[in-house]
Amino acid sequence: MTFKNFVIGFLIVVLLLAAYVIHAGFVVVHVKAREANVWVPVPIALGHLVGAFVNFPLGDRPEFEKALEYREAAAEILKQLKDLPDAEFVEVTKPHEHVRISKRGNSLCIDVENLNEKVKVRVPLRAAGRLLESLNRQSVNVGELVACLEWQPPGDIVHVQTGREEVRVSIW
Amino acid sequence: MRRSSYAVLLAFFCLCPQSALLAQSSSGWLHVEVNEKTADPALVKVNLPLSLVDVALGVVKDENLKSGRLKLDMHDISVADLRRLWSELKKSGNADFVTVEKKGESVRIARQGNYLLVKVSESERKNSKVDLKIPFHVVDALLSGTGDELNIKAAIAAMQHNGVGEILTVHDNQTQVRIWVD
Repeated sequence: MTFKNFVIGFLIVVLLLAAYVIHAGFVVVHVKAREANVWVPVPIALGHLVGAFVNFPLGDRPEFEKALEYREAAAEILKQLKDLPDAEFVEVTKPHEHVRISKRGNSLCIDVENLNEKVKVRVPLRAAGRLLESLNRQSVNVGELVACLEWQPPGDIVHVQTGREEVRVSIW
Repeated sequence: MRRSSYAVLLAFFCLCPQSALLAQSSSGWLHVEVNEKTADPALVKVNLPLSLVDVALGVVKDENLKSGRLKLDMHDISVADLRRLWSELKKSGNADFVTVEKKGESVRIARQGNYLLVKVSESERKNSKVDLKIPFHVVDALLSGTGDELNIKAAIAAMQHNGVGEILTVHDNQTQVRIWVD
């Protein structure tokens, strides 16, 4: 009886954990090149948990200190972006080059396309907000960085395509 | 008009409308469109909420632009001279302040209601045309700084109280520039 209760309890915990891991989402890194095709799914919840033990001390780096000076302004800009309707903020069109920075839904999108490469970056605003919050200390915790991607809408966040290779980072 | 003077004039008034636009209303948008038809053609479109421009302006820490104040380094005329000139111009009613008509070139600076109009056209070497229309209160705010500074923040705030439309259009053979707020 006791053993049976233990097994049931254990199964419930495992199921709850699995539900949490699945619901938190996966970051999938897909690298496609001539010589390799790598596909790595990383559960965000797991990355959050494991990354929590890894800290990068950045406090002594002058670039980091300088970047921190702009944190408040960046937070204000993010706050305003959330309230804005979808829009194209910047668009540069040249014969063989196209750059566009826009807001689509709750994401800031950056698209760059030229003869040699295509780059698409989608920054979920909520993730950017969490990222800013996590950068308020002298060190950066990898777990907190990964946690920024939790509960984000699915889709590509980075897609780079060149003549030789293709890299895609997606949230599932 | 010389190219350098042209550039200074453009820079001055491009910044002026920007600030004015920002101030106009939190929901107002600043639009800039540059169409270059040179050997390396380019079309640049910028659409930004004025409130966002205001925040960005506060972040810029350039040698000549700090806290929304632009330090001008002009050799031909100082900002103090501009202020004196402006205070005199404001006293007049609708009038043409400067009219220059030369072969292939014309310049007109005038007051029309509460707007300062600057129209420059040149047809001799290249077919170029500049139209600038700035509300008076924006220029007032812009020149409210001290020393050789233009107060862009204040100009933006001044724009918040008035609707602004087309501010600047420049047309020449190779480049078209349009700045407006809506």
